[in-house]
Amino acid sequence: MNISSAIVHIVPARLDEACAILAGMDGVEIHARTPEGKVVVTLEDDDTESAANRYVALHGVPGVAAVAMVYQYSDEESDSEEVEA
Amino acid sequence: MRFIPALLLTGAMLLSGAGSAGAQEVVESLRGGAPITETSRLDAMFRPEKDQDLIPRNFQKQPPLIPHSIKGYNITQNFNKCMDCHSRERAEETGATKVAKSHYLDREDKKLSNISPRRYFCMQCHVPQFDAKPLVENTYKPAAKKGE
Amino acid sequence: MKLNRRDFIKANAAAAAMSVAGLSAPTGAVAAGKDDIRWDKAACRFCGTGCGVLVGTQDGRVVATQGDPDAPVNRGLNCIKGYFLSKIMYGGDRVKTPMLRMKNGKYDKTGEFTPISWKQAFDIMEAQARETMKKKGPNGLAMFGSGQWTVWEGYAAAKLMKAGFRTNNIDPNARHCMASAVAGFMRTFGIDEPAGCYDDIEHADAFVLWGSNMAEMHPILWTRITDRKLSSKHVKVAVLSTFEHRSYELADIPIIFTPQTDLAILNFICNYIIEKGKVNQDFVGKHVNFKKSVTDIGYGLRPTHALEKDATSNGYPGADGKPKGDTGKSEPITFDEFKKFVSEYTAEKVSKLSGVSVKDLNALAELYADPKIKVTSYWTMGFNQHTRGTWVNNMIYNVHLLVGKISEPGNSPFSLTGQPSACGTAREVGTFSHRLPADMVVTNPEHRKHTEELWGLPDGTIPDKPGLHAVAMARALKDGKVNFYWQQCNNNLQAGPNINEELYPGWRNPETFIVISDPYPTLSASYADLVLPTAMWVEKEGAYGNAERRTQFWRQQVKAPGEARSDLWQVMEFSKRFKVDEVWPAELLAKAPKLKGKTLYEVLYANGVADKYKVSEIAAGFDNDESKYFGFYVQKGLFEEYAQFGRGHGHDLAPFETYHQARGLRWPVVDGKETLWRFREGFDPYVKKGEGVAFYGHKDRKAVIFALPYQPPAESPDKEFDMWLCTGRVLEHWHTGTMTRRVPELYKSFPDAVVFMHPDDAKARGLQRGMECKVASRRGEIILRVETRGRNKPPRGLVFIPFFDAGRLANKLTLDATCPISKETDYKKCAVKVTRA
Repeated sequence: MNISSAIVHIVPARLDEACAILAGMDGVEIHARTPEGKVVVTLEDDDTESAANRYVALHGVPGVAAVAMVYQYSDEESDSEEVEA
Repeated sequence: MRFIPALLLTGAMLLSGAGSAGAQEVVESLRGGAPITETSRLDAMFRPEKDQDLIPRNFQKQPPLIPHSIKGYNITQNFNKCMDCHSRERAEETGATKVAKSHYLDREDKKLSNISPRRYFCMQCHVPQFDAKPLVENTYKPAAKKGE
Repeated sequence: MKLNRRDFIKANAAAAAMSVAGLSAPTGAVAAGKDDIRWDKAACRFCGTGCGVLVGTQDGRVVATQGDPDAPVNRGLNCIKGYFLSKIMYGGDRVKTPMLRMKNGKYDKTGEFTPISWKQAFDIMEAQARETMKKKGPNGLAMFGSGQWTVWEGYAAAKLMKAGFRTNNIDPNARHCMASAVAGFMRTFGIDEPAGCYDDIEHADAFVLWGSNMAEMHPILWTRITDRKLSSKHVKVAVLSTFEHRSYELADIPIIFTPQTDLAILNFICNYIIEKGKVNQDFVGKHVNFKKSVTDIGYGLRPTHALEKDATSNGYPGADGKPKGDTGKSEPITFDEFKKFVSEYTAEKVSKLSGVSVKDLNALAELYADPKIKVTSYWTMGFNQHTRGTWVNNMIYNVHLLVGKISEPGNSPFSLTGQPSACGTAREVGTFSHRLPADMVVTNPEHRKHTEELWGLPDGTIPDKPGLHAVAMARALKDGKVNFYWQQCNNNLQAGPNINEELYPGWRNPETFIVISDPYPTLSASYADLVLPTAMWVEKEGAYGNAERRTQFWRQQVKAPGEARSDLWQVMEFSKRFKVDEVWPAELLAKAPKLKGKTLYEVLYANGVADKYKVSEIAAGFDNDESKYFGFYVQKGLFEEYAQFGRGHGHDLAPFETYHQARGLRWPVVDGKETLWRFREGFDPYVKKGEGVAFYGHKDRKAVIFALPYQPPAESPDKEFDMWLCTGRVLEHWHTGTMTRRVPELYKSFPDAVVFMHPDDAKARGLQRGMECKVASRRGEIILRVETRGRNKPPRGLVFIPFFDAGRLANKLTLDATCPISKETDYKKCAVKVTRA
């Protein structure tokens, strides 16, 4: 399991529109937003796609000005050593 | 996640006298019966446990114990004997437990191609076991599986 | 567990992003999921590093723990001890009810332990304390606490003794651990605790370890140093000790020196810096004073000891009954006088004395002298447990101050602490026999007055003489001067020096009544008269302060077993047994008539300040057994009362609730912002604009460089006792093993103490690895096995024995010699012989 969080900066005029798209993306959750266009999101996936690619996808959403990753957590859950636990 | 309480059962059976009394009537320290005023003798010499399969863990983030002898294993700045078998590249071939993914992240959670230097000295978290019997029972119980 | 952890991690991820975005984060770290494991944050129970952990509870029991990925100290890592925290509370022999030695239904010192109720326990304690006060006055009472007490436990205990019973006979086991560091700070800087913080690690170009085996004793800080060293090729590590240990695995400059000669090596470095013209003249000119100390200060032994009789400045009563000098006295000198003083410590002379090559000495000195190298020095017990412990702390500051390498990222003389709250509780709260909160001392009338005002007590309540320190307390028990002794949160019968001659006789002196509060039957408990079952770690709400000034909180996660109660509850509940009218002289009480007829509990705790906060303020879903019992939010009230001492005085703490949200904050916390580097403008709010650097602990805002000589230790090997003994710890066990030896995995990883020795020394005595041998000093003997190939590799002539093993009591061998200034025992040097058993 990979979980990360990021601050997405969105042009205020397109805030609603962009948030709607973000919310519709798989594994993306919006935790907070400000009228100035700062949006806090978490992303989770199961190790199928690299985090870098996910960020590229976020960037591609119309209205998104910048994406700053804050936190990344990768778990070894699927690794062999975890099976016994 | 599966919990195997084998360790606990063994622990309970190897109880020394101290903890077993239901209503406590002794205050016996881990020194055992030998009075402080005397020079206590030693038990039989403990030896490293025989090489075995993986030792079950009790909770997810418990670092696996080392189930084999590490006699002569050295870790220096330039050479880490453990990684000879346990590294990502070698584990499949050697059949050793693969070092977890978390060990390839730096302090800021950025991915690294080699073992993270912060995890370099394996024995700060992973230790082998001697064949000593626990001095007292430990009543810890792992989490029960619920809701799944 | 999977879903729940996912939710939890996600909550953390979101919180981290929100705080960066400047948005308010959802409070706390609590998360509960489908499998009913609740996760919440806590500080590790063990060393002074202060790692953050997450505690998983289910059905009222701790079922799992892990490193807290959000904790800045350890970022998700723990050492082997920390990973097994989940099991420390579940040893099968927890003490669950008070136990009293009884014969024929009555207390009898020679009787057998018998379970009794709390009421009965306090009845006998009350009777014994009253009898002692009647016979000996308040100074017949003594309390021995700990750097493992929570902040409010230490605070409540200090209040009970200093203001309630009016005796300064309270001292923490931190006396054995970092009293020398405290004395060093106070003398050099006039204010306690390090200028820097752990962030120095990621900025330093060189690390020097002085008598500190961080690889085992501060493993998580060692992971940060390893990280820095292995990721940045230019980084150098120098390790100094009297024997080779695990930290040498990372050393570029490995140095083994003859015990005690660290004093000479430090003077050599100063000499080198001066000779090579590398003194930071501007810094020294603006920010440093020079002083010379008295030197004939003795060794903290009993006054009858040969080494004390002739000492002229040991402070002991002389023939005329007056104290012989003052151990801490010093007078101003000039830089040139200092230069002359250290000039005799040449490389050649020091090399001969210390056994370190001239090449290594020069390489070490150059790390400090080269202005391009940012250097961080770490030390622990090798410096602190030293008959010249205060001096050697002063002397490392000498080096850093001469080159101005201090109070900025990467340049840091950093005193590590052994215990989780040595700083937060023992030092900051003022549980030492000479101290009051926020670095104040009992001998200063202003300090006493300020304290009495904040505590709402009449002028003259707090006694003006320092009480008994750890070693003096043990001697007073043996001598029958202290008759009532209450020990909480430590195991001094095993951890204190010279068990046979000093500690055990006091414990079993027919005149003494020994009360031990502990979760487990320790060696101290097994020889006590009354044992009180005690709640531990997350069985109570707690706060610890780590070595980098970081204050960290946790909530009560589970209930304690049986009748076990926290140290805090015990102290407060016992205080209800006494009225001020009974324990204070009439003239004192006359100054505060409104206190008449009140119990110590009402005067000290239910005093209108500490009982200000309601139980309803406790976070929903968590127990808080003390608060529910007493009817107010005890921890919050005590903390806020205590925090008044530091706010505005360089020790500012944030509001109580902030610490339940944050992963700890480093004081001074001013306007919500923590302080990473003290004494430097831009980092420290107490440094004025334009000042650059200010060591504001001293009135003239300057630090002190002390001229101090090399002197020999109290006991050195001779013909009969021909080897040095150094005692200490191992990675897998915490101190006397009370917790860690009850965790099967930890016990089995290092079951018994062994004696580490050089193979040639073993051979010369007919010994081989694994054989039993007898190690004897002038004070006692123990039998244990020889280890010649282990993690510690002593040079010829020195052996190392860890003290965690109650079966092999290393402290039967040690000498109760202390630093005469700090009163901290030297556990690192005494003479022993090793023979076949």
